[in-house]
Amino acid sequence: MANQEAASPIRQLPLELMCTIFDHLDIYSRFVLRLQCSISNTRVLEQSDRLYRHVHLQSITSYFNVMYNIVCYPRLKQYLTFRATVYPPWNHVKMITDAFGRMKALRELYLVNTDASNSVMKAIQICSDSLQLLSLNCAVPAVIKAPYLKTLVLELFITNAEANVVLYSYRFPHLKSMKLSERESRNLFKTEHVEHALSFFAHLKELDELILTDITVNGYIFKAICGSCTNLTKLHLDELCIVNNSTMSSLSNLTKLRELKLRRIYSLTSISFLPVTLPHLDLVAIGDFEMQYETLRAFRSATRIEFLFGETIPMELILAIASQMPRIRQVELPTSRANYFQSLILLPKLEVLVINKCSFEDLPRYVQHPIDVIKKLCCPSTVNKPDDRIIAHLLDRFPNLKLLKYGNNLKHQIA
Amino acid sequence: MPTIKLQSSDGEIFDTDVQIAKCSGTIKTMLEDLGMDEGDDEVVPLPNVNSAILRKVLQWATFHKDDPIPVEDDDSKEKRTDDISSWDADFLKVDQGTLFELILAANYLDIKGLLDVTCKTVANMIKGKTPEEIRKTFNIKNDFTPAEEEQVRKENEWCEEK
Repeated sequence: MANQEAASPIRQLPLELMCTIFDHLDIYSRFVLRLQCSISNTRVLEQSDRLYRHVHLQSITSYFNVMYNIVCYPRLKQYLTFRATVYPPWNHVKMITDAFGRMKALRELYLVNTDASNSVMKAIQICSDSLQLLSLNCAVPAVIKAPYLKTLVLELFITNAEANVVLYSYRFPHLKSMKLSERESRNLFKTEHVEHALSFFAHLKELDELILTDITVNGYIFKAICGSCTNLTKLHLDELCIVNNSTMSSLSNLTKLRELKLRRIYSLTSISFLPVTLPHLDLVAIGDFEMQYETLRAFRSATRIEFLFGETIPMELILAIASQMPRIRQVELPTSRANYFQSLILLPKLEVLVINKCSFEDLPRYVQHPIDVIKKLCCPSTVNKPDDRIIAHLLDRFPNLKLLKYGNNLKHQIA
Repeated sequence: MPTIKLQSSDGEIFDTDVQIAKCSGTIKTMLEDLGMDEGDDEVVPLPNVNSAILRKVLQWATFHKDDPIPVEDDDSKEKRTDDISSWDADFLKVDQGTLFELILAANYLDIKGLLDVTCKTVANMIKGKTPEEIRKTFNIKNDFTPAEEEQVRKENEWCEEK
């Protein structure tokens, strides 16, 4: 038998390399490996201490024995991250609530539930003293109590108008980053919850980053954010509804703000940023709303600007940026099919151009005349390294180009 | 182009482009720590890699010399095994002994890209197979008693495919 085993080359690999191979296997394949022989069974188990610290389960069905084995697994207490996609009906409220309680070391919890109005999900309680990141793509649970929570990401699917979502922020007072997206629902800050919405932000004194997507923020909530969360360095709002420009002045409370995104602002009057002072602002992103261009001077400390709207940017806006925001060195555009490349040369310090949806191959055809101010070009949606022919075409349009960035932070230096 | 000399465990010398040799973290550190300059006549000994495997490793490194530096893996993300390029897949159509020796060499020489693609290849040989098929593939002898095998099955009942 010893000779037969020696003939199996896989046995020559040390445990650490077997673990590297196991890392690429799904949980079912690992189980099949355990069935091979006593040695591979021991090796898979030896690795399981590491294996079960980060658990990613897709498609958990509601069979009781499946649920039981997952949430009553004896080593729950060593989970550091737990990521699961669950399908309805996920109907074992107490068992799941208890399981979260027993994950004593859990740092990150990600849950996705495809059933928007799952009343069971709303009955679950997540109480953890160790949790630092919570990401939910489902109905909001009944209780989220995590005193050391730093990051909260909520994408709500609640379409039921009766749903009553109430989040109590005093249960996570040390929150640093919050990203909320409501999709079709309008529950979180609905008007009958005014007092709750106001007190919600009052507890989030340490908040550093606030991103509200597909949520309409009314003037009173905007004032509550700016009045309470004065440590914010990053604020993204998709939709802001204000009566008049006096509301905008509360932005000046955010003296540490470095990044501001305003996609849409609805107001009875054209938006004026005149009363705003943001001394540390570095990036400003603006959408297509009616504004008084000359008041963009409020953002004069910014070195980067992002346009959050389509293919036509008014020439007046570019001119206003050129005169009111003299430090701009980076412009971020949504696509390359824009009509404004030539006008960018009006920005005196421009060096960096970021185009979110664009390929290096297509770009030159949208640039009519060479633009010599651009030294760095970033196209995050491009995944392939540009070849010599493409680089030659780019250099023809951007003669002083020195660096290309693409994909997930890949770089190509141009000699 | 500057070259250095690499010596395999069986004494064969490989005159290698420095840029290609430095794909290996181990060789790169050795050159830096020992202060060996390009063009020196000194030989870098690689006692854990034989000439046949070193030749294959250098062939891989030559093809991949312009690849971007691989980013650190994110442990929380599921690892893919279906992204092996066609060149690598052809390159790794070798007998199992060579494949496992390449894994050992990639690990010793600290070449992340090669280690990654060889481990993925082995993982693909395991995925989707029954226990019996895997035993046959890797020439593994089942030494479980029926009771032990039943016990393992019971512990993993929950993840068996429905």
